Amino acid sequence: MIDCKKASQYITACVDGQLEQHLHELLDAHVAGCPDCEATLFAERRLKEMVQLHHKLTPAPDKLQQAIMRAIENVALPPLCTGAIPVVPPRGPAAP
Amino acid sequence: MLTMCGSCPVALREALFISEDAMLTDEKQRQKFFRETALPHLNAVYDSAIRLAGNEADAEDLTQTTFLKAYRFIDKFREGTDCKAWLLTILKNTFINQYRKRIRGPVTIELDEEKFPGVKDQPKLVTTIESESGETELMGMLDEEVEAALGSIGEESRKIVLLSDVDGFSYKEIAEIMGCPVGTVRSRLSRARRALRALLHKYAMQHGILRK
Repeated sequence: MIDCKKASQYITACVDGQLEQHLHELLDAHVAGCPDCEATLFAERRLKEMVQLHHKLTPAPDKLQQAIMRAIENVALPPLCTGAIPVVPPRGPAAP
Repeated sequence: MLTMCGSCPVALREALFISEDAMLTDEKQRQKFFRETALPHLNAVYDSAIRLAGNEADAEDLTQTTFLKAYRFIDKFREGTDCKAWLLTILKNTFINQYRKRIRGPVTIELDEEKFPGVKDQPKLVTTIESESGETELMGMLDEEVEAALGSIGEESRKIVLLSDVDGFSYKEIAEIMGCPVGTVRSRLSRARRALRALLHKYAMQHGILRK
């Protein structure tokens, strides 16, 4: 059995899904009989949801998307040969 | 009659009697798949890149490198899995391998009792925020308040919270990104959340979102 101090150390990792299984079981057992720690666990879960819900992404500049697409189009195919295609001259009679 | 001029694709195509359309099909399909699957996550990747790099110029560079790598290895991406998570993993690895040494400054811990009076008290913010509707309190908080609270806990703490909550990185990954032990990530995140709860608790009380 763990005490509230120990439980508070495990709560963050529990909310993040990063708590080892055996510690999870200890925390569950403690929380089942401790309304304060149960409330803290609930509060931390809600906080994580709040951050996920309300954090505003910084939008990427338009030029970045254009640059990526341009780069990809260039990566995709080697540049086409724009010069004249060399032609092998017809074989003629051997030079004297 | 044609001769090959090195790597000239025109000559190669003609010599092999392959139409340009046929040759382009694969690349076009890759580009289409990339545009539809990866590119919609550009903002999420850029947002995270700013956190990692700490400035816009490096973030743009890091984002572009991430997407070019993703394009190159798009065949490795399994359709139906989480593309954003895949891109963020590429971003993280690119940052660790190429950028961190150059960009990262010393890590500081800003949270203290004087600046954040509630940090050590473990306020039970949302414990008392329960209501009949359940979700009312979450909706009661505005983006600005959450952003403002995140902005008040110090840059390192804000970063660690967002790396975990928004980017979904594991503690091990965050430790790699921040260059510190996993235990440090765990304790910093715990303190940052306590500080956030204290700040949002204050806001909720002021705006009547909290019921006593």
